[in-house]
Amino acid sequence: MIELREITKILGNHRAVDAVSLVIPDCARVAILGPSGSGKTTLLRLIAGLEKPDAGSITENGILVSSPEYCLPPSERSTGFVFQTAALWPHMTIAENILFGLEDLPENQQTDRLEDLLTRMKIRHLRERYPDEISGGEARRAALARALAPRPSILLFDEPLTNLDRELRDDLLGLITDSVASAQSTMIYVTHDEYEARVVASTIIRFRDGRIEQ
Amino acid sequence: MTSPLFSRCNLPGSMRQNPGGRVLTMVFFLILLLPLVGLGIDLAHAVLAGSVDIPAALLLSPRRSGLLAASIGLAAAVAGCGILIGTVFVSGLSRIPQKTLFGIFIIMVSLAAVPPYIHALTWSEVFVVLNGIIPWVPVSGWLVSFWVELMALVPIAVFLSWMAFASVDSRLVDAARLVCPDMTVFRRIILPLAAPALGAAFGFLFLISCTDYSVPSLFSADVYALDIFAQFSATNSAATAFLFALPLLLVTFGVMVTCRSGIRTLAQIPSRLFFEDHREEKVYPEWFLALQTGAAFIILIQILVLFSGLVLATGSMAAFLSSVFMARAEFSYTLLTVILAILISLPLALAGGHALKKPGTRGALAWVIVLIPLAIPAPLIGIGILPLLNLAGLSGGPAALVFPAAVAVIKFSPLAAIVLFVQIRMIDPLLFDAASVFSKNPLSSLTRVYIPLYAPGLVVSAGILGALTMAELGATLIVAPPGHATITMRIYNYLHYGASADVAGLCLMVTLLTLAGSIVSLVVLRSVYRNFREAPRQSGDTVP
Repeated sequence: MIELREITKILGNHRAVDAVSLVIPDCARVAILGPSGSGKTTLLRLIAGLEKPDAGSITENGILVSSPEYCLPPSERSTGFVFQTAALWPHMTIAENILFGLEDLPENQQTDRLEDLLTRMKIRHLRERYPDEISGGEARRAALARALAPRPSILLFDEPLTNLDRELRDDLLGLITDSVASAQSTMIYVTHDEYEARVVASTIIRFRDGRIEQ
Repeated sequence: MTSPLFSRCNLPGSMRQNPGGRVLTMVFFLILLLPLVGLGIDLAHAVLAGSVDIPAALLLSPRRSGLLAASIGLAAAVAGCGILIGTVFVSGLSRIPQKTLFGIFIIMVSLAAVPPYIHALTWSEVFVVLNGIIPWVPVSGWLVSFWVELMALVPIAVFLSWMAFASVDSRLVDAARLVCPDMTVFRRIILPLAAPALGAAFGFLFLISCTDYSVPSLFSADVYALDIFAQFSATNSAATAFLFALPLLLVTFGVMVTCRSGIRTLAQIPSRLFFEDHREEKVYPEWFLALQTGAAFIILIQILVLFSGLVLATGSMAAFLSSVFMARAEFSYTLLTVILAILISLPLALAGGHALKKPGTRGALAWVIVLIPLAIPAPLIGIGILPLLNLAGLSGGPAALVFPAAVAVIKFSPLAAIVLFVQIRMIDPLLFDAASVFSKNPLSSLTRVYIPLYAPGLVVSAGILGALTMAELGATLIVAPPGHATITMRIYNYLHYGASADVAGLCLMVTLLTLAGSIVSLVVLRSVYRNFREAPRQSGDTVP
């Protein structure tokens, strides 16, 4: 369970997230819906540990992970993140991108997971390609595979289908829904698109001006 | 509607120039090539007249080979250590609050503009004191030259490393931070992604170090660039000096061509230096934190030695004012040179900046020509334009007064063009299109749209041109007319006799002028930074 208490983040002179309190149970599928500039991405980054809050706290299963005084490093949180763009490391192949977060595992387990994800994402043929050698849709699949690879308990999606055409978006929405269901992770999905929110989530939170509206 | 320099036809925004702009661009590139043209003409003349022994001039004697190797070694060591210190220092900046960060940036840029010979003065005092305490510490030679040159170039190294790190997409770093400790992220993601820009930064520092002799010559380290000057002084033949310089030119041109694309990449980065809203402290192991602290300590020492050395050596306010008063003629001449260099360079550099933005072969060629002056040792620029001035009958008389400004234009207007290229590509071309549509008066379009939009780049370019022109020595020494000297020439001559209150006072004045110019430029830049800010690259709410 993730619990946010009065969490606040100030960027410049702007309260990007303003005293937000929220409880997200295990395995929940939550969408945060709001317009551009409302602070959704910052909220997601706070949960991932990529930002330290200016006030408030975040706990995971009762353990404090973020406060103004303390921030558990992101790599120690069991969190997967799919960004607005694929954000694949350009100097690594697709396989290396996916394996990057699995280096603590024995080699045979790494290989098993890689093969499984490449198959599920339908990108087996791309394993030795570099990010600049694949299409935008393939890059999004690879980014999803990379986020799923360490089997995180929390999966965060930051408008992952931005700038994709309708067909590709529907295809990837199905893939995301199936992947989250089989991973049994808690999912927080940020979007400004109501359709996407309804498809992927069981709970929709409306966000505006850094606050929960509904 | 047609703007005075750059008008739009079918191409977007400022992509297409009118005839005036094209002429300026051609003049700009011609001026940059003048030293090579002059050297070529003199060489052809000398060959036809049989007055140059080509094999002898080209033959790399053991002495010249050693000198070349030592010069390359010194430049590589300075550039390598500079980038190392810069990289480690910049990696620790995530611990610094945003406002303090801008202060550090101002200090680094201001210090980068302080002439190297001033660092030579202050560090020579330190080495003399150290030698008194520990006799085996040298006061001259290669090691001292290396250290002083490193200290002189560290601010530039920090600035370039900063830009290299800014070239790394923060989303790629965030993606890695979710699965790996920060040290692994630094080693496996940040460094490889910043490597091309860091390589270009290394090349840039290498070129600066390899083509300048002012610091090594003050510490009795004979470098190849100084020998070019000596060769010209001994033979008074530009052709001989050119042939003598060829081995070094091969090296510097090789480095320049290798780094060309990296330098181009570096030039596209500055807009991201301060606008990263998401900055979080990274968790590094103790040993790396110790390295970061060490790098910060070296930079702090550099600043302390510079200012305390100058103030202590100057002695008193009266001595300071007296030394400045005695050099008033040199200051006046320097001011004239600086103003001329800025006034001539800016329109040319603006035209050049547009040329750099062109796609394809023309853009690539423009980049090569713009980088050529960086690869030519300073004395060779002065030596190169002398034959042309003689041909044009301009080598004597009042026209000679502007020669130092002319060599400054050749040497430094490329940097202004690169700055303006950065500025131009940050301006939305639709703004120029809108000016074309809505303005009925070209003058109004120029004063109310074009100049305000170009203003930050023009301010920064003027600052860079002013600081570098004031500090120029290698080329100015060759072309300055008899009876006239810039303040840098006077200081350099004094420095050969060691430190004194007079020379320290002059150095302090130059430092204060440089710092004041840099700070004013940066504050103005900061105040109009919105013109410099790139539009967010994608939708979403990462930019509040």
